[in-house]
Amino acid sequence: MNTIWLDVSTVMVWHRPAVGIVRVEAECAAYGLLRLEAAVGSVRFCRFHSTSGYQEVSAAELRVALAGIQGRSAAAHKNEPLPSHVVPAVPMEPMVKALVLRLINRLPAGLRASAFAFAVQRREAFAAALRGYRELRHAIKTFVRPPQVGFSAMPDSRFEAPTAQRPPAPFRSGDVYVSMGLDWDQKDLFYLYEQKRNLGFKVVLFCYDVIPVKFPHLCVGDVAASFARYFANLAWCADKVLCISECSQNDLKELLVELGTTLPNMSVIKLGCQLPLVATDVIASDVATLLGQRFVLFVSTIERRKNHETLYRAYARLVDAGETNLPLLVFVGMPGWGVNDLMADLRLDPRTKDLIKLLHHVNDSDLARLYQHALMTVFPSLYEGWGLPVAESLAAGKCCLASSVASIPEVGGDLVDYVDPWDVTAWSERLLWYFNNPSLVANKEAQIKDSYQPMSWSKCAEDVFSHATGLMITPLTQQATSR
Amino acid sequence: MKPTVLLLSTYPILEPRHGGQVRLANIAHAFETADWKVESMAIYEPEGYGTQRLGPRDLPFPVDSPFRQFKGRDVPLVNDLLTGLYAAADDGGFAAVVRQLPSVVDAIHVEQPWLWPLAKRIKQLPGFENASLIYGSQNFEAPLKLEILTSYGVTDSAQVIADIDALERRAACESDVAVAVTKSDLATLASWGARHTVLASNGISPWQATPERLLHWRTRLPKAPWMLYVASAHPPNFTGFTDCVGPSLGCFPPDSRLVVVGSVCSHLYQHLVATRWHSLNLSRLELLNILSDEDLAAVKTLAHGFLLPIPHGGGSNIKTAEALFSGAYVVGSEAAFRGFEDFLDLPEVVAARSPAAFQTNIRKVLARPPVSTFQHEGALLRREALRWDRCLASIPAAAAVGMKGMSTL
Repeated sequence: MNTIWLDVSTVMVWHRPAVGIVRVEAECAAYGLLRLEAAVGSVRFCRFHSTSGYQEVSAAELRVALAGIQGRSAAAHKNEPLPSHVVPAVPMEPMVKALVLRLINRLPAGLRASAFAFAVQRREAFAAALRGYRELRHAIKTFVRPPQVGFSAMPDSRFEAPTAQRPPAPFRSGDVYVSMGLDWDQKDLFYLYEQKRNLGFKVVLFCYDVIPVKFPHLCVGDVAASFARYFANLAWCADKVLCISECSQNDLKELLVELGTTLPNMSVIKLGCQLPLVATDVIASDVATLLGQRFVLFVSTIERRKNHETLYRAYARLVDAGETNLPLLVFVGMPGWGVNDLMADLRLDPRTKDLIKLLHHVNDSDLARLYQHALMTVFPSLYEGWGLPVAESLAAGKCCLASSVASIPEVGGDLVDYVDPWDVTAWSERLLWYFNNPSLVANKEAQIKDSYQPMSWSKCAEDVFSHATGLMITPLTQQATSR
Repeated sequence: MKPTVLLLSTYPILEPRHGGQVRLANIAHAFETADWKVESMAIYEPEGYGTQRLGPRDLPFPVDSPFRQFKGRDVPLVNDLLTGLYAAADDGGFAAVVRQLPSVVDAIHVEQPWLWPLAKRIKQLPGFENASLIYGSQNFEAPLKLEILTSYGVTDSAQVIADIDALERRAACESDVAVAVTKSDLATLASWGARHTVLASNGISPWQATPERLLHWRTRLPKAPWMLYVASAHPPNFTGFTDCVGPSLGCFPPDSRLVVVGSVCSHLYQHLVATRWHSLNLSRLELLNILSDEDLAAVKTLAHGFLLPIPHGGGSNIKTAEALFSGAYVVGSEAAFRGFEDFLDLPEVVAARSPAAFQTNIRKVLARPPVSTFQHEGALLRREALRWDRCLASIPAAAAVGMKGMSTL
């Protein structure tokens, strides 16, 4: 019997809450375990290691890894709905904060209070020092190893198959290998291509978005060139690419045509949107304070692409126009890169500093409460491969005002109101219109409750396996592509 | 007594590397085969050819010569034109040239138009009046020079281009025999007033790789099918690459490569590393630089296909002849097949008219089995016609006729 091999490399090394891509892999892995228990088809799991290649992962090992992930509070680090191109680094601020607190706790009891006060008063100085340290580290790194563009020295070119030392993969002809993890960071597609040619199995890969190539300025560092290479190799490896939206599929096709690669078979797959609820009676104090007030919710990592700037400007404009009855604007998410000026504005602008609230560590339970109590949600992102917060908002039955670009209208369809993400005036006018017409918000919520069908993660995983199974049974001649 | 031909060029030919040298070395061989005594004289740039083996009559064009300026101006990339002015001038190199001349010359073959003024002056010398003049056109240099200067951002070159154009037309008109490399070029030379034109296409020297070199390169190069691009540092070979193939080498599978040989390597590397897709491009490039003839023979023998991204220009490309002779797949631009149009009906030969067509055909070719498995006898016979000895025999024959004509005057 042919086997579906699900690559679980990402979840096997993940020690934090399952968000974005990790969530997709974790949900499919969990579904794969269910199929295994129910003896539906043949499912096996594998992981990739840079020196030993592909190795089988037992169901028991996978269950331990999934339990480790699911036991953590996902929303504590939430809000990178789909981390499209980087493995999120462990935030340094909480680590430093914890270190400082540990040091203070080692002081004699009589000194702790004053030491704590001393540290709190200099929090800004510590933060600035940390930013300075990061910049210095980046400067040294790029000084020692400058970016490759424009290199004048030509490498001593010798073809070396980098995979020669690795043992063959455990896959057989007719098997289907499925990978949906952080492949650009964790896999070697050259090796996968070589193994596929040698062993004759089929390959299903994922495309979440091509933002690193299409909008490299919205990503960290110069990632366009390395991601172009990744997508080109993906095209050569995959018998089928599952894209998470029509927009991503179109973007990928356009990119591959430009790169001149073969065009693999592609399909769109819809991601799940259920919040990973962890029921608890404990409510964080900052969340509890909010629940009794009127507020608009924006769930997302605070980074340039998510475009918090437009909401800040829209609110500032409303204040300047004399609006006084504005609800709070709540940003739930960890600060990312490229928003230092915005964060300073939010902290210092007297017009908005009492109106815009930031919540950085919100667990899933509290996040569900925030959705439940929000007046409405907003999502002004500049570009997305999907737009999970919009789906989550609809799943929570909430009216959403969202960006009109990229895949976002695919998520919300007719149930969401769309605005150009750069049009600050339109955002301020539209928000004010909703604030002044609560009945319209209520009508929208009713419409959402009547017609929105949330996608479950199990259905999403089922679709992934269905595509893999389809490759297994389709005769080779019918899978011919343009290659 | 054997007749004597004097070959004039701007490059030495004892160690032929680039296409012009290879062609002229084979012209020398064609004359020798036709029982001529061959004398060659190169007026060469020491900074370009100083390290190559030189012939006894070869002379440098000094780097500090006042003739290095074009009409009092510094104009880059026109030393070939200036070489002719230097060599024919009394205050330049003419005296040195006269000292190096053989005592008897029956024909003077000027390869490319640059040294035409020198040939005319030699013919005016006592004892050389009866030498017939052969003009070997490899290309139309004026439009080619314009493209090169433009690609390097050299403006204000109108006078240079006009002078080159006039020189080419003068050579065609004043020659006893004008040699063209394509039928199209032949017609143009005739339209300029050339009295006697002959066609002598570019050809190849058959190569035979040694088992030892084949083993060496088989282990070093990809096991998957790959394509070969052999080229010199002649600017269109790299400036026009992306115009032909596009800025990305994504059409090569991960385990394949574009293998590049020749002095074009460093230039092509600089060109492709400056593109948006540099990481992908470098992952698909295999740069071998300049190889010995033995190694080049092995690499050409192992190539699954040849790439000929020649963007434009006249003349014909020696690399095209080599690619066609190899019997492997050939994917090239339309310009690359100038002079070899008859081969376009072969199933393994493809002319691509756009980057997309290049990419599509590279993908297709790399997915197909090696050509040799379906090679047919007709194609093999046609390829034999590409050998230099077949292509160039018309030149000494025409020179002999020219000599006869001169003697009857």
